[in-house]
Amino acid sequence: MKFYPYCLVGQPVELSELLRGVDGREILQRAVGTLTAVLSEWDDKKVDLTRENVLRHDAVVRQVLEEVTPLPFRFGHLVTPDQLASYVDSKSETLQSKLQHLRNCVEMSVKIIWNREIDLAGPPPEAQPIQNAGKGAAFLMSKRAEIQAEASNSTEVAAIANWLKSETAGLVRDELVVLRPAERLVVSASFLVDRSVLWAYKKRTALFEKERSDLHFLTSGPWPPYSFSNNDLEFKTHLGVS
Amino acid sequence: MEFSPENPLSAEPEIDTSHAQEFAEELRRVGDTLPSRINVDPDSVEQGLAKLVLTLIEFIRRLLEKQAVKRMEGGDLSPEQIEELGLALMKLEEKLHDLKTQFGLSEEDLNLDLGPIGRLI
Repeated sequence: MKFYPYCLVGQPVELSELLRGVDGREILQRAVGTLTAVLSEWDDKKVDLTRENVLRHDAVVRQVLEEVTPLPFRFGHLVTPDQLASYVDSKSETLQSKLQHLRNCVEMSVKIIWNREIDLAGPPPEAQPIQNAGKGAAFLMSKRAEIQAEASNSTEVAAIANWLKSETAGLVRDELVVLRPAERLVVSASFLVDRSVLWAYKKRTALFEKERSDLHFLTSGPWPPYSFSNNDLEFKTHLGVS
Repeated sequence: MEFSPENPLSAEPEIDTSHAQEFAEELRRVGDTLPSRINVDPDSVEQGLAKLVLTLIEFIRRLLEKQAVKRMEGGDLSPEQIEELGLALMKLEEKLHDLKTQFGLSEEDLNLDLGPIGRLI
């Protein structure tokens, strides 16, 4: 027998008896070390990657989130009971510490599109012309222009990220900001926000569009704190499962 | 359940933007470029491995380009050396392009999601 895990919590939570998990399976809560795993029992069947199954996984984690902030697993893991116990035992302190860090929080997302064309051709090169420049030298000069443009974009995108961080400072417990200077979607940020200040956070982010007309914003949440639990990566590293 | 100061956690996540179409297109495009896991299906394992190996080669190729440009800017290369280095890197880029085509991969395919720290390239 295997388990399909949805998330880990400190204590058992109250869940609707009507709630069904991936593949329509029953939701169980099992003590694993010092934690409780919310899971379904599984046989040898594969986990089908379907829209319905992904939504069912999310529905389980979301219902737990309404009670308490869990350490969610991403969709699609299968483990044996021994593997799950080994994972929790070996990382007990880390997992407890993560739960403490996430306590009473939700994940909020901000994505930013740069409201302008990205100029990857960059400024004209300033270097001295190379004598008898052939194809090879021209190739390197064009690469130099690209690298300069990327560096310039990176500086501007870093400034956007710093602005975003300063705007949300004091309202977030933790943040993960990914910058993509070479793309239109230049910033993807995840913020860990305590539920007690969620209202203030939302009021703050609602003003972004007015303050920065050079940027387009997409704000979303509350989500389970997938970005801050990172269980998926650790799970694979520890167990080699997928 | 409505979102309010008294009830800060609504049952469903809210998504707020004045540019829905634009974000939908960008997120779809970014989603398409994120590498899925290496599929161990016998029919596609070759392409999955090619994608991983070519991504690493592409990463190293870009590092080599940056190093070459630094050396060129530093003035420690003669015009002949710049020409030779440029030609070598140009051929490497062409060769990688051929390999991508051979395995049916696009430029956007050659990347790795490194989780919380972003993407490799």
